[in-house]
Amino acid sequence: MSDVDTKIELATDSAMDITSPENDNNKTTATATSSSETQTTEDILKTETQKQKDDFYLRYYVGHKGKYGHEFLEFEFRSGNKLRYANNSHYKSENLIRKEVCVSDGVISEIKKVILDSGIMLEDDKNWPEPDVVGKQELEIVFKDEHISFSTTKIGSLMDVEKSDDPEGLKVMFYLIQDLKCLVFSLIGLHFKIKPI
Amino acid sequence: MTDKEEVEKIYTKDLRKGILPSKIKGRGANNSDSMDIDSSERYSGKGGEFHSLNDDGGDKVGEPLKSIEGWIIFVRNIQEEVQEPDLMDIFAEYGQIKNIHLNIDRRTGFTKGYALIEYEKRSEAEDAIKNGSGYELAGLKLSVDWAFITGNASLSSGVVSFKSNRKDKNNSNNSNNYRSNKGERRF
Repeated sequence: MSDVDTKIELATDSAMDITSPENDNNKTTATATSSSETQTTEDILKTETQKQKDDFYLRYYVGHKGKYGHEFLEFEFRSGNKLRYANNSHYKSENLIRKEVCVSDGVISEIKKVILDSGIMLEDDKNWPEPDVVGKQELEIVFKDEHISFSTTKIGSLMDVEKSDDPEGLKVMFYLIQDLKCLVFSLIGLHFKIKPI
Repeated sequence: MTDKEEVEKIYTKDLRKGILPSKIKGRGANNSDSMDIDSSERYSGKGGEFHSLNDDGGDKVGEPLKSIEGWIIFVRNIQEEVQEPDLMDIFAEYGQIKNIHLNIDRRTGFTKGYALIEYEKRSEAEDAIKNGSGYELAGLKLSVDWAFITGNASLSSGVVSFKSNRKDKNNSNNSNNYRSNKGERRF
């Protein structure tokens, strides 16, 4: 540090002492407060990081393009426990249905349980029938550090499942989708008092 | 970085905030699907306007949210052989049940393990949550909570779209646009 810098620093200190006799106490308090704030911020960041690791996302889409335009059903559970539901058809001047609601942690926990119990995270769609003119299904799930994004054609019945190259895996998807739709239809139907389909 | 590697890293930024799984499993991870229907088309214009019951954003975040006709609670940890009358016997004590959904497991045919119960008054639902939580039914302790809560004010702010792991495609020249303003309304 140069002499000039030292002089400036000393001058600044003395000026502070003149204007504020309790300067030393203030300094201590400020340091303590700052330290406390840092600690709190660290805690918040730690909690937030943990929360992010446990983040959860689910999206299911089923649809096709045909005589009545693009008809589809899609629902999504996003961060912040948001459930979004969309049902689209122009059949006999049907209106679009777009609903959104926040569900409780209990609902999200139940969905996670349904997903884990199903075993879908262990499956792969490489041997499933590809989307075709009949339609398309998409299932996307992020759960902790796993991310699946499956797509296949519409499944009419268990007969379609049995005929596929991976009947066991497709059966997991088939039943999981039914269970998820059942829960979502209950949530949307009761909350908004609409027939979801 | 190759296209495939880039695709594997693409995900809803507001959700994952940079903490991403190292790999996406499934054919949805690549863009080769010729039948790919872009979400921007699905939710363009009024198609992206979602209706919720707390649009005013006046309530505090995380508070119980009233449904159209009543207050709905969510019951978990229900033993698989429990049936609707069993739940009715317990929860009718706290008030008149307007609706009950006890869904079944599609594979087994047994109860799935959760139920939604609707009461007309908030006080009744609160009693059910307070007294029903921890109630032992068929050897399992029930867990009871609200089904719906108030969200952020941003919950229904304008046009929103479903997220996807795929890149946005430019659909300006897409002739398969089935949307028209006719018959569409904002809820």
